[in-house]
Amino acid sequence: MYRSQRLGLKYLTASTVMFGAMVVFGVLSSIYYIWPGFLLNVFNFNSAKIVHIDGLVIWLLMGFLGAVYWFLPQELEREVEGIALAEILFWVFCAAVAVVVVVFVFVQYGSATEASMWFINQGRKYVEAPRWAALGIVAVMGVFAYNVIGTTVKSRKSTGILTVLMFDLIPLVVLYLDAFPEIRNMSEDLFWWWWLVHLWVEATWEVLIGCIMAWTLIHLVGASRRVVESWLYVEVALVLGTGILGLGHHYFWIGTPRYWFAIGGFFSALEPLPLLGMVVHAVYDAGSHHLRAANRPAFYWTLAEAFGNFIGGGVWGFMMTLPQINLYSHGTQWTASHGHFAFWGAYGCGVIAVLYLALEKSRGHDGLDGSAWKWSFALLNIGMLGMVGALLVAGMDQAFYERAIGGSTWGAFLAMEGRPWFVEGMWARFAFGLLFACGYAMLVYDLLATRRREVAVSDSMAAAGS
Amino acid sequence: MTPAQMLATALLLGAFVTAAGAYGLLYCAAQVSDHKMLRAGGHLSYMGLCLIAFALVAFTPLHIGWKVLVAVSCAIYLMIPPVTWRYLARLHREERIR
Amino acid sequence: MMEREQRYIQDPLFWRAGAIAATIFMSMVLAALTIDTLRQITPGSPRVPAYDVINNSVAYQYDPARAEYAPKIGGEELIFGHKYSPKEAADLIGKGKLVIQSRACIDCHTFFGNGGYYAPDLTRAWMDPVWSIYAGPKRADKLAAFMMHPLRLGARAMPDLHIQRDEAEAAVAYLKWMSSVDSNGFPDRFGAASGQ
Repeated sequence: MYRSQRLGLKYLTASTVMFGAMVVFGVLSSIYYIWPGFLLNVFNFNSAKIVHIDGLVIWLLMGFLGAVYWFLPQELEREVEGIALAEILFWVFCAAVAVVVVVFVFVQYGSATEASMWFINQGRKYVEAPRWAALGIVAVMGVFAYNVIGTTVKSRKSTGILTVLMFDLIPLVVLYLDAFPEIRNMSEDLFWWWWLVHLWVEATWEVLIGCIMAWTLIHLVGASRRVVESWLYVEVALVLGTGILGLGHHYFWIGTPRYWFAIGGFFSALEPLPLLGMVVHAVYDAGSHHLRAANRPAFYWTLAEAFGNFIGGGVWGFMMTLPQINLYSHGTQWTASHGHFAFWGAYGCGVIAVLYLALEKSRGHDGLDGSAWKWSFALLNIGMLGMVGALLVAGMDQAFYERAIGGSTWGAFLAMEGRPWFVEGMWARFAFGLLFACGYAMLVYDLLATRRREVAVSDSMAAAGS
Repeated sequence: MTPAQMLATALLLGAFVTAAGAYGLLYCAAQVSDHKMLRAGGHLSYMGLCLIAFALVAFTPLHIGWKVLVAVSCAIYLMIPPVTWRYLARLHREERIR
Repeated sequence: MMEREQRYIQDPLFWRAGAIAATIFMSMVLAALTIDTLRQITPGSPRVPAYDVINNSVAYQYDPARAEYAPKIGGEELIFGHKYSPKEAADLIGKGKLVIQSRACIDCHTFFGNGGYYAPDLTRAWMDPVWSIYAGPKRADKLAAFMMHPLRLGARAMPDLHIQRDEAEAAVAYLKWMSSVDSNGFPDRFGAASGQ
């Protein structure tokens, strides 16, 4: 195994741990909605939510890094350039995340000073981590980009997947620079903030997961490189062709000009088209392999990625993206429903597929199966569907009564809190969140219980002999 | 737009893309296993897509631009599964020949 | 159509060129629109008033000409007994933004509908019916007092975030300025249900 692959395994392990932190703080966040006054002035909702959503970004980022460090040396058939530095940065990254979480939990906030921005909490959604930590993330991603580009340059060759990845790394890193500024004008702040969030999750991350899925298909079902690369070009053309100006669907209500209604709405409405193409591709691959692959969990999580991306991003997104609807759905639990479903479908499922692929290869197995992964698959997906459904019902109730009828005043908000479908939605979300957490526990059990092949073989031989 | 119209329109929009997805899934499944139920399901899904598009155009208070977009999308969604399938099939065929 | 389709759509290099062209073209359009949008949202523009709008009355009501709700800037209505110069107002609002970020308000509340959905949207908090029963100067004091010692009004309570008086004044000024921004009618029907 290359050193880079060992580093990849470390990142995938850290990613799984952060996934767990996200789940714990997610369940915690859901309790505030059903237990009024829960931990008031001890650990408030915003503190729990911050660890939940920042945990989301970190576990997925670590998953992406792990996947690339795993696949890169195999792609170029050589060790990764600058791997020693990358190994150091991994521990720096983990330490930084740990310190940031400890500060979020035990310090929580500071006074209105620059020092708070540098050392405690920047208070901008998804990028609350203090500036010193944001600098750390820039360093990690900078070294990551050097690893990828440097290795490619040193090997004097590239592949289609790698070329796409390298070009994608530039906006990936540059966009993160929006994690630093403190902009007085809220309209301008949100304008640039959406460059980071949207052009990450609806553009550069889509390309990145596309590259990772391309590699996954090659190693999982022996897909031909030419086929996956050709498909990758189609995806990039359509995803960036629709997603770059689809950014405008976040510019309806933040004070920006009205032309964003037409531009954002139009391109946003086109965004489901490439996602339907991905569903076709998934069915083609599933069909041509007769729904069989040696590594069954990786195969099924890859299928889940295509379908989850389409439904969570495409269906849920299209429901709420046109301005006339968005005026009422904006900033409600309906948004949270879409957010959970889209992140899960587009990225969560993909990273888990890579986890299983790396698990198989690193433990020396020839394929993977069993019952634990099926339980985990079912619990995680049913848990997610339940949460998303509950949030949709609560969100539609909120859009209808609080926004459309109540006019979004504080009084309308207070009235909405007690509405039966809203309350039941919050309880259902909590219950399905627990189911999701059980699915996560099952996933961890399965990952830990899948032992090295020689150990498993000798165990079964010993059992046969006794 | 009344609150009820807002919800109904949103649900129709979601159903629109869902029908497109069902059509794509069933069309492709029929290509794999050539089962007439799957083929029928694909056709029914596309008919459902057209009906939903009609409902969005005829009965919702969306602005005219969005109605045109829905109608054009309906036509584009018809083409995506067969065009994509043919593209993938040809790619794989050429690869086998190599 | 089939033959033409085979020539272009079936060629992977067509899609590679398409990916490059689409990315470059869309990025250039985005860049151009960004330049225009930033110009239009600079404080002092028609869409985003200058920071010293905090010296004026700010209301939000239905505008028949636009067929949507819009902010309405009126005559002088001071807050905290002080008429702020443009620089003083800019500094105060800058501090207000620091308060909002340091306490991570956006992780419970929404601003222009963006943020956390646990607490009310604050885009028009300045003219919320709960506060607008008070005239400007008193309203500002009431809002500041609430921030420093939040009362529990619903099931979900606002925590005590140890906001000092000067921070509260800055945050109130921020909310008043933010409520004057033209957000294309968001939120709709504001206050209509309570007969405002």
